Amino acid sequence: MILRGRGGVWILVGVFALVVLIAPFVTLIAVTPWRHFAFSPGDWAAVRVSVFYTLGALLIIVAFGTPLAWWLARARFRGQLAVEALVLLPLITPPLAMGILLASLFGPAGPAGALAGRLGWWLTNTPSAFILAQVYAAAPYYIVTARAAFEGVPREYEEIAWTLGDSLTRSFLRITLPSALLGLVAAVALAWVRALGEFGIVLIIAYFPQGIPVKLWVNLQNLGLAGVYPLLWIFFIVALPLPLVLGLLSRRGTRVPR
Amino acid sequence: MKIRYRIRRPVRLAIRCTLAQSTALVGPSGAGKTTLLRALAGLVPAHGEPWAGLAVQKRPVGYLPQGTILFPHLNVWQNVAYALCGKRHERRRRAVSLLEQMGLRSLAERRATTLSGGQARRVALARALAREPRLLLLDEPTTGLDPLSRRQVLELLAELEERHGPRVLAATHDPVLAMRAERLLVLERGRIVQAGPPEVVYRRPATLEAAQILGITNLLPVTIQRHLGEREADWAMVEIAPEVRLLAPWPSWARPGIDAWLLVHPEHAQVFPGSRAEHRGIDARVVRVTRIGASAQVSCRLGSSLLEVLHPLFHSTWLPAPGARVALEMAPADVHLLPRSPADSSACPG
Repeated sequence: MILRGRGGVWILVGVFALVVLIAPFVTLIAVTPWRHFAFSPGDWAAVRVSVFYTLGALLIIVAFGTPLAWWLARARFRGQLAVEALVLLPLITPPLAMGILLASLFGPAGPAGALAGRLGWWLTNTPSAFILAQVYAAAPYYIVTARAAFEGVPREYEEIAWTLGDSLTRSFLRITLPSALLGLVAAVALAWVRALGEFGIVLIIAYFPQGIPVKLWVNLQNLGLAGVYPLLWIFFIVALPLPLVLGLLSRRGTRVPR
Repeated sequence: MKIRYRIRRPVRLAIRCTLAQSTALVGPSGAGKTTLLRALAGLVPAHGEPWAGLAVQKRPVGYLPQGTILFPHLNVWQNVAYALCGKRHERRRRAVSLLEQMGLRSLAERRATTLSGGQARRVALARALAREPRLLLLDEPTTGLDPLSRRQVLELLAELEERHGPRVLAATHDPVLAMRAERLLVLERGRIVQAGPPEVVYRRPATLEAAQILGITNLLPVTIQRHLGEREADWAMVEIAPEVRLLAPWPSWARPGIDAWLLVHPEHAQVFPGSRAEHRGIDARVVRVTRIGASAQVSCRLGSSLLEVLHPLFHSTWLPAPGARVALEMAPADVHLLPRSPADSSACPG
């Protein structure tokens, strides 16, 4: 008997929590019109938009977020706490409000938007706007997680590498990055999921091109629930592989005997 | 090799010392031993000679911090080859040959995370040596190891010295490592308070802390009474207890009337049956007797202090029993006075 002893109560509570968590997804299986399963016009275009632009956003987040995360993990300076709070600001702002703020800055009348517009670069309702919205949605998650990963790498490793002749950049590439890899992989997976699923910010500044979340909303408006379920299945199929593969890889990594 | 360093943070240090082929750096915890090593490696800003203006990467030093030190994502030979340049197979060949020289060939393909503490430390030494440094900085190289691993690391360091490898500066709490070095530096209150061959420092430590770091506990509180000048030596008459007096070499900081510590090493005191009336010594009571091979360690109580005496059993068949009254004798040239209050020791010969 598994549930013998006082631990049984906690296992029951845990199982209950799990059931509550997965109940909506079990419902999805039940309510999907499997016999008349059909995609709406524009669904596949939305999938393409979501996948390619999210990959683009991910590249930008990793390229700029990684140095920032490393700096926050390593540097000790006055006002560090303030910088850390600033990084979290987009994360704690309600997505709709964040979208409005971005529209105020990058919209045609906003300072950054007007400047870019003069160069013929429009930052609302364009692929650039879509990517911009996703960057703001996912970057804080990436930076916070990556920072924790870097903090897990003992400083001594880098110092030894320097005494062995490595420059700062070289020690980062040869020591810090490989040692923090598992955590960074988790950060990328988290950022991918966050960016792919972002609705609020995208809705405000990039209604077009339509990615999966906005298209789900449009389908709901135009076609009702029947238009939502097929696209939702596609969303899961698109979103899950990356975190799953990365998760498996990192789990294999941690299983190495220490 | 001379070192002249001034460090402000994290510990304020003003260091002037000379390094021998092998040098041990001892001092109380927090005195700045690690800081000095890190400053020499270029990891802590410092002013002085040598290399103070040089970047970490350009300094001809190897540095081994305390604790876990191998890169965990590399295997053993990749760790050793870390500083080597060239093609992969060439780096591997050189790393493996270095491991072979150090008797670690069999570990070459192992993952760094699967080694024992002692193995990891020896591999880390090989990694530092691969770059052919002029000075090897070791932070507590034998701390936290099991006795066998500790001996292997000590052996490796001894071999390094015999092969005229790089100079070694090791910060340590390990008395064996300290006593094996060619030169011993005592770091205290931000500077080197004593430097010299370990035997000399052990025999005549300059301060109470230096004595304690070397594991010396045979200290009696005394009062210096007067100065006795003779033709070739100056002597101090010290009082251990009312009417119990001894002679000791007169230290330069001594003044009549001040308190001091009297140090007598266990091997320099002798214990005799009976009381001092029959001998020239001082009265004591035996507390404990521990036989160690061909000698016995006799703990004697003198007033409020305990004194250990190493009593050889080759010649005498007499072994003092706990509780027995005995007389202790020590030659005036074998005892040593240490300043008793911290203020006194600043006048010590460094």
